[in-house]
Amino acid sequence: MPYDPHAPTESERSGMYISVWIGFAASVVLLSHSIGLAGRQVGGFAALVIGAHLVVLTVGSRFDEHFVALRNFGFACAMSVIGLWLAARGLVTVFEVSHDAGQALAEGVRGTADAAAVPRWLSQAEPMVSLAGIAFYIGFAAAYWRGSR
Amino acid sequence: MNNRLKVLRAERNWSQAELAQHLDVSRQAVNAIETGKHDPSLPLAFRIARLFDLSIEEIFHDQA
Repeated sequence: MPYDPHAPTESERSGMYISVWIGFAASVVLLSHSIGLAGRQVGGFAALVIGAHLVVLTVGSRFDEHFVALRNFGFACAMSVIGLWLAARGLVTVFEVSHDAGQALAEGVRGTADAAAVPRWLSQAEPMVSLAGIAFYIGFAAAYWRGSR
Repeated sequence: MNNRLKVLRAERNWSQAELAQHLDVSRQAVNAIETGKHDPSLPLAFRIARLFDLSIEEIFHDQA
């Protein structure tokens, strides 16, 4: 392996694992903010910490292979949450359209879909990204304890 | 995959952090390899083998 004078030291590499626990704590704070348990400023600061951390983890390339394996599993968990969220949103829309069509067929009037109104929180980005963030850190932790093989 | 990394490290009186420094990985990565939670890539396995002056097969054993 060629010598790299700027290669991170062991302590710098280990520090990346500590940064993940800090990000995990911030994601819990952000989720608390999303459900109204934490203030706006606290939530904003937590979002800043998580956002910066995730960007560094995404574009950074100076991690060892174990960390990359854990990171990839965390990313997979986060993407799964986003996928489930969007699928749920889609299912609600399907129900809404079906309700409208059924009402139109049965009563000859255009349905209003009041009964199947999409919950407001399902259309908001912050709860989704908060859950995706926390899913990343939970996935990372799970892979850390269970193993990345 | 089983391995003799912990034994080889102990023979040299190295800490996990010291071995990690030799291998350009984190202490957590060494711990994960020793406990079988992470299978090293081929390049890392070669680095480990070169460090201990052994072949990969003398350090890592397939569980099958």
